[in-house]
Amino acid sequence: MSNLNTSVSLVEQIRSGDRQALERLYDAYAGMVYGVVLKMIRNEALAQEIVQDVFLRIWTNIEKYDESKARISTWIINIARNRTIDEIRSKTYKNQQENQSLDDSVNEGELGGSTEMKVDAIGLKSVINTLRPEQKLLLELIYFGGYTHEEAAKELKIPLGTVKTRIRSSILELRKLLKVE
Amino acid sequence: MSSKDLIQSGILELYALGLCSEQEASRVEEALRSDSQVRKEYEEVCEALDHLAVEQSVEPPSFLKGKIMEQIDTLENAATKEDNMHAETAAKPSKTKNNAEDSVQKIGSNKWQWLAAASIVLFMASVGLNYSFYQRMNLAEEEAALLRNNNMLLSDENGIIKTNYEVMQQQYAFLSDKNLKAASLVGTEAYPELEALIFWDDARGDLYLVTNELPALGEDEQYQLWALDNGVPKDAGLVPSDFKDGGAYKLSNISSAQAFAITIEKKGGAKSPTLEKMVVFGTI
Repeated sequence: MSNLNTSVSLVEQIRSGDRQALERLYDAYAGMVYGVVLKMIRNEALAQEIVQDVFLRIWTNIEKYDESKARISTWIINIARNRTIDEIRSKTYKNQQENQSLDDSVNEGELGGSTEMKVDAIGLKSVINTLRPEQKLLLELIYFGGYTHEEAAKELKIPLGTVKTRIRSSILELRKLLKVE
Repeated sequence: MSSKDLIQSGILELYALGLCSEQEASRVEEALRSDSQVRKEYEEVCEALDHLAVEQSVEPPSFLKGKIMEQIDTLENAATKEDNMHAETAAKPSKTKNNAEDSVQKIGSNKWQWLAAASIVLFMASVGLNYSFYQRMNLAEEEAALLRNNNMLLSDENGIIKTNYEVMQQQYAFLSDKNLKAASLVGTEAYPELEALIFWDDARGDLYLVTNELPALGEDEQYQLWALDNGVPKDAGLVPSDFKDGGAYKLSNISSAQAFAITIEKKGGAKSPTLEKMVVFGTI
């Protein structure tokens, strides 16, 4: 994980219009962004388009990034997730997906064949796989499936309150696992 | 909401996932600004979620970076052109601005009167608002005191109910006894409305009385239970004088009986039953 100080100065350089700084940011985070977006939409061409968009947004919106509020990685992932969720909710995407069930997009190992090969070893033994099945399913629906908590409650046929407590318990579990590592 | 409540409510996780309403989000942001405990918790939540993303990393095709940088160059060039255009037209709007200033000066003489009138109105409004806020605050305090009071009453009541429940549980524990026989004792001619229940384990001899329809007696009187064995009445114990309707009481050990009866006797009981004062009777 990159050191906070380098991130801050990188952000400052990007703010001052330094394109090379953006390239360094891209080198550090493009893999993460591409991986998350691919996991969310399972379409390489579309994912690449979104990654482009995400980095353009980072470039144009860097003024809005507040380092006192969030780590740069959190900020970048949020841009990527929001952009992809917008895509998932768009009519064009929905039409393309008509013949495929939305659920598939959040199933492990359902990525297109060629991308699956590129998923590195760390991704395969993802910490999310150590969660209880119901925790994993919910977190994947929300984090990678772009479901809201209300939609997840409907999909899983569990009360909204249970969804909320389960989100918290699964993230608590992740935190515990990460501390042990 | 205390920081602990806020943390435990799970709202930080929803906020980190971008699932909060605007109202909830501003509450979280306020807490993040003012509360280091909340901030620390939130940072850990983000770190865990970031980890999920980092784990997914897939190397994007190498041409993508060049494409992005190209787009940024185009974007920047377009922006510079636009800036130049802005610079050319920048001087123009000043004319209209001057016109506006002129008209402001024309009404300038009235301006102070206006301001004075407005400030008086605002002052009155603020006094009114303050008074109404003050009253509302008083009301809220009263309500809070009432709620605290109610809360205390409820917790007292809860304690009483709990104790009663435990007493009843103990009293009725015998009902799980497998050898239990039951007899319903019904009112005699003189006391038709009275009733009582007998539970009897004839192997162990344990005898329990449930006083479900026995009225309270005078201070110098007491109910006494009799077991009739082959027509001979045997003292089966005194019903405690502080018995409660619905209460269950263990009385004497009785090894053999075919019928039971309750009489009203002098306090402390009698050696043989006063048959005229027999209130209930029943056979096993």
